[in-house]
Amino acid sequence: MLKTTIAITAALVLSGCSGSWSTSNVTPIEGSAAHTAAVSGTEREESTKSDEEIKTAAGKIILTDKDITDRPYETLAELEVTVNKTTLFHADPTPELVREKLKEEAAKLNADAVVLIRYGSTGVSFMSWGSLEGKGRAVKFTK
Amino acid sequence: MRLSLPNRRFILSLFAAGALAACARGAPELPPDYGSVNSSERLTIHHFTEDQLKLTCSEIGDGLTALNEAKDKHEAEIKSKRQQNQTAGYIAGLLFLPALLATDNSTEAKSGLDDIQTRRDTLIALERFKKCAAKTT
Repeated sequence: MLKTTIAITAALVLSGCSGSWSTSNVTPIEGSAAHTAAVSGTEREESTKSDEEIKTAAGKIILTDKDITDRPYETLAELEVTVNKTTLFHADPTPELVREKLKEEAAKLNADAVVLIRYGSTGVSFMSWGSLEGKGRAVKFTK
Repeated sequence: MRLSLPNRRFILSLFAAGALAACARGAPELPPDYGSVNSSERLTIHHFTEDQLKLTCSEIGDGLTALNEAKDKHEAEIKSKRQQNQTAGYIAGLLFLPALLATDNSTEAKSGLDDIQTRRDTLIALERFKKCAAKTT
């Protein structure tokens, strides 16, 4: 009984924290600018962009669940992000949160768009009571 | 009250089965990259069936719309079961462990979504192959 009370109290306290946290996995495409930066170690320069700069850049990223066929592009990387809810009592992660995370990761690569976006389904994972995964391809227009 | 080893194993198995029953479905894999200027793969007629090649751009668009509607139905079903699964999880964790048996993995709806994504990817590739006017920018 005491353990249950402590567990519930801890969960309620944690519920005051941010409702979600996320992880990401970026696979740069060989030959792309992102891959070259990663291999040469200049990625560290890119990652020193401030949060504000990333946020501003992210606001300009085009997102689509289809392909972009009216402008030529170079693929920079394949993105995989997972948004998790903090506790059992928080709201489930949404596709909107996944899109925001994809935009953030694309902005770090100086991408212009993320194409072919797809989502998993929210459910229990090893890390969280509610996880939602999303994937997409970060691209940069050549013209 | 200390449980015997077989009982503890049984309860742990029940918990694992219940937790897995409500597992997150991962996002489907991305298709091959046919669109990038730096890609070595290009679309040919061999990527599509004869029936697919006969489709007009308008029919491809209609097909994508129909797939989106089917996707919405499956997602609604999974979402409705999610609430049931969470409730079963709360009850199982706090009061009555066998409540985990009430979880529903929506296996059919999930595999349906994967199938829909594969078909969407084919139609999207067909749009590119036929140079349909897909204005996204």
